[in-house]
Amino acid sequence: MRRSLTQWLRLFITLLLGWSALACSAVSITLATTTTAYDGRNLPSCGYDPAQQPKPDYDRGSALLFSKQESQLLAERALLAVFAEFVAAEGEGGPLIQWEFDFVKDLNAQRQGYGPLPAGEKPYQLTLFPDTPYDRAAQYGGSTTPEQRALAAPFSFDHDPSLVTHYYEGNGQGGLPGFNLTQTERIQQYESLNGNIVPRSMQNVQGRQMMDYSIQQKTLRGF
Amino acid sequence: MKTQLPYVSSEGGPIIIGDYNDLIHWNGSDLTLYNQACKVMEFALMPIEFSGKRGLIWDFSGPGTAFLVKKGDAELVFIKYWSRPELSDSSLVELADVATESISSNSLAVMSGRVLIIWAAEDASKIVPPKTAFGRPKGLAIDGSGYFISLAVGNYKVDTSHYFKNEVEVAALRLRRLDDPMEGA
Repeated sequence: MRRSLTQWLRLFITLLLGWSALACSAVSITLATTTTAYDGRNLPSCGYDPAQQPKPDYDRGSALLFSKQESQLLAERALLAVFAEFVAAEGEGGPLIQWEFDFVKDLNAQRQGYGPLPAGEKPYQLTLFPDTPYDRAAQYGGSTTPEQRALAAPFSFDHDPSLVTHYYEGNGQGGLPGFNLTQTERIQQYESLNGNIVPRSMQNVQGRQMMDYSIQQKTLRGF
Repeated sequence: MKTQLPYVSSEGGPIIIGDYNDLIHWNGSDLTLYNQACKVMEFALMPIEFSGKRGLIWDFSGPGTAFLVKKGDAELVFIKYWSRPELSDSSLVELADVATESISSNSLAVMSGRVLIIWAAEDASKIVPPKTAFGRPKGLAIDGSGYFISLAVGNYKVDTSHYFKNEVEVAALRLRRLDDPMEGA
């Protein structure tokens, strides 16, 4: 389809005007700002909040230096994907806010999939990215429970999915990732008897694989 | 988490402990080295050599977390426990207060005054130590899987044990400085 000069001009102006909104949105995403509320009453905000910037003393450490290039590449690709989607939406006349609203709706639907919040817990903000990296003891619990240990004896109890996978990606059945669950819900997942019984040697191998996975996730999420 | 005690976690695979100046040469992402470390028996201690350095491998039985429950200039105790609900700091300290028969013993020379305890799958050469005498290093592949502790320079006796106290299963690692500096060397 051939566009007229007017159409090109309109597209150019639309892109120009839309750029600030896009940039704002991209900054929001990359800095892992909050985009939605659990109760769904607050529409996503597009304000750039300086408080969401990494702290001045934040230091990723030398361990992540090697992954800097990969991190940049991933960020650029994510930005391009957002841009492409925006252009597509504009081309069809759909506003960017609709696209973002749909995304938020999906998150809320996922949250609803977990049922009501545990008793005594207040509605909370869902986030696009975790605020802190996975830490087994802090977010789930220390060692396996006595019940899990007894169930698996003389072998080892293996959470399915692994806790680190659950934290970053959820239960693999459409549920929210662990970082978007309450501490009570994470503990419930941790204490669940749904898992595998594996020999220690296999768990050693899996542990090693989880280390690689964790590095990948930390890089992807800018930790 | 109820406790405020320092801890070290594993997602599967043993823990390594040693003088910081030695362990900075430990690279758990080297599969040969990691597999060698995984040969340690359950609850036991196994010396391991790498790049001309030495460390001690401790298998605390599967994934989990060991807490630093006792710390003096010349002594420290880590314990891993299996219990629900989680235990408070004071209960954890009580768990360590027990005279038990050790499963395995070895010695460790602490020459730098700093000990690193870390999950064996980690690459210790990539971590950045804390500026304080003890604390969590930066650059760990998984947060919580390593910890720095300051200890008096000297030779230490290291014991591991496995026991039950108040129906709670416990795995423990104890470091105690030898009175005679030459002992255990």
